[in-house]
Amino acid sequence: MSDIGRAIRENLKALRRRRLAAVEVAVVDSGMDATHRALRGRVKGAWRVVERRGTVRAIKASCTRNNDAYGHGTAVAGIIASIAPNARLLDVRVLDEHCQGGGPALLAGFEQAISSGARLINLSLACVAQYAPQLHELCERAYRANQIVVAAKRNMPLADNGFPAEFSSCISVDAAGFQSPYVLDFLDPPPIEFAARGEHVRVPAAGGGYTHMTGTSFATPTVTGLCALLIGAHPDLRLFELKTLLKAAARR
Amino acid sequence: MATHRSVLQTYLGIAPRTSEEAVLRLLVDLGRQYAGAEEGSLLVLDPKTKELVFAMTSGDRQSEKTLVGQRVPAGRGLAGLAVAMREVQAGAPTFRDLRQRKRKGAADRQPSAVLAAPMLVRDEVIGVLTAAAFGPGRRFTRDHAAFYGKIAAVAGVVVDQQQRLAALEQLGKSGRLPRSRTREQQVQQEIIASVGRLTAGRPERLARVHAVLAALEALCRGPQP
Repeated sequence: MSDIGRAIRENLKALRRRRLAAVEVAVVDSGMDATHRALRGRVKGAWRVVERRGTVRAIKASCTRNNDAYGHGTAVAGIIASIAPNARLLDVRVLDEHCQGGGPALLAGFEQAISSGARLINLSLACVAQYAPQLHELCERAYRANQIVVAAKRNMPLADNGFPAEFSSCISVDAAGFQSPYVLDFLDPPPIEFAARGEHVRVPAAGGGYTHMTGTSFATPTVTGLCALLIGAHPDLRLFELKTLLKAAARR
Repeated sequence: MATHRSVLQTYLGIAPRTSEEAVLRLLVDLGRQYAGAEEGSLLVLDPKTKELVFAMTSGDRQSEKTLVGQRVPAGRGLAGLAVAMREVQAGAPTFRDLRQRKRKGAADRQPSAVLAAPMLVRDEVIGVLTAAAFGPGRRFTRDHAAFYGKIAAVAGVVVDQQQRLAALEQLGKSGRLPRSRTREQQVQQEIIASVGRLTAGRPERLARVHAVLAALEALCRGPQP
């Protein structure tokens, strides 16, 4: 790692102790348990995607209740909240306990996250290639509005790495066995760019308490949290600048 | 099949009734042993009720008697998450503080780590492979998860084949299937269809998938003279 990289990494840790601008972070996932002590007071808005009369759309939901059926979104949001004290969370629920969801729900949720104006959008889920054109369009829309999309690589890629992680208009994340959330690897070749802590990560569990999770889903919010710190310190940062800073801070 | 059965029973303690079951049991057992898990199981998704049904277990003989046939809602836990997200999930399923454990009425024998990998056909989930490890500090790694995901992908092909062949045989019995199509032709056709689905238009993946399917086909056919 270069001297500048070391300086950025040290600076990232120091940023947590500084007064940072608030950054809105949308988490498109299974919902959040806003009553969990790790998230209490941190959730500023909530929507859930529903299907009514054949139309999938996002509707307002309570941002003070447990909105999470699986605990996945709570875990993801908990990681962001623990890394970035300046993150204001927006809960966009696209997975429910009836296993409804899939591509159309993700698209509707993603669109809601963009419309909400969130500066950062965390997608700890990967969609199949069938929805790639629509996801690409949404990623481009986010890019033009200077909204940063951080997306997870598929845990077990068969035909592709998952979408939207394959797009260059996102920051794409794989999981690694690092202990610290401040350690990153820059990956070569593209399309997946960064690897972050994603093994046995201690996360809040929906309903209370804590658990441990493994996978790219939990590496992605680590990078989102770091981006929230950087944007909090430098609110005008654009996607290519964030990628450059993260690459400089990476071990390799 | 008789030779297979006795070999599997002697060395692995499993006694399958059909070749397809033998392949599935081998896959579940292979995944479980690779991950160092005490228990492994294969659950099939009932699309009507959105429930996961235990179809076979590995590791704990008692589980085979008590679990097979049992249904669990697909909207809960890591297995449910694997169904909803169509992704391998690895984590600790139980809450880590005493307050939560008491509230949940947790039993003494709780797994400390669980793996759940979806069995996918096209983009539909048809079931889940799970592994559970017990004992303090036990964890599954990303490598375990990736391997289990691959095992689940192959198991998905086998279950899909089985279901399609059963449907074809049903058609055959009702006289709606051309007589010229033998079971072997049907197997071949299904394997070609599965390769197409697995490679998903990426020809460079063909060799790897073909190798796995050829090995499976050999297993299904039994030992050659």
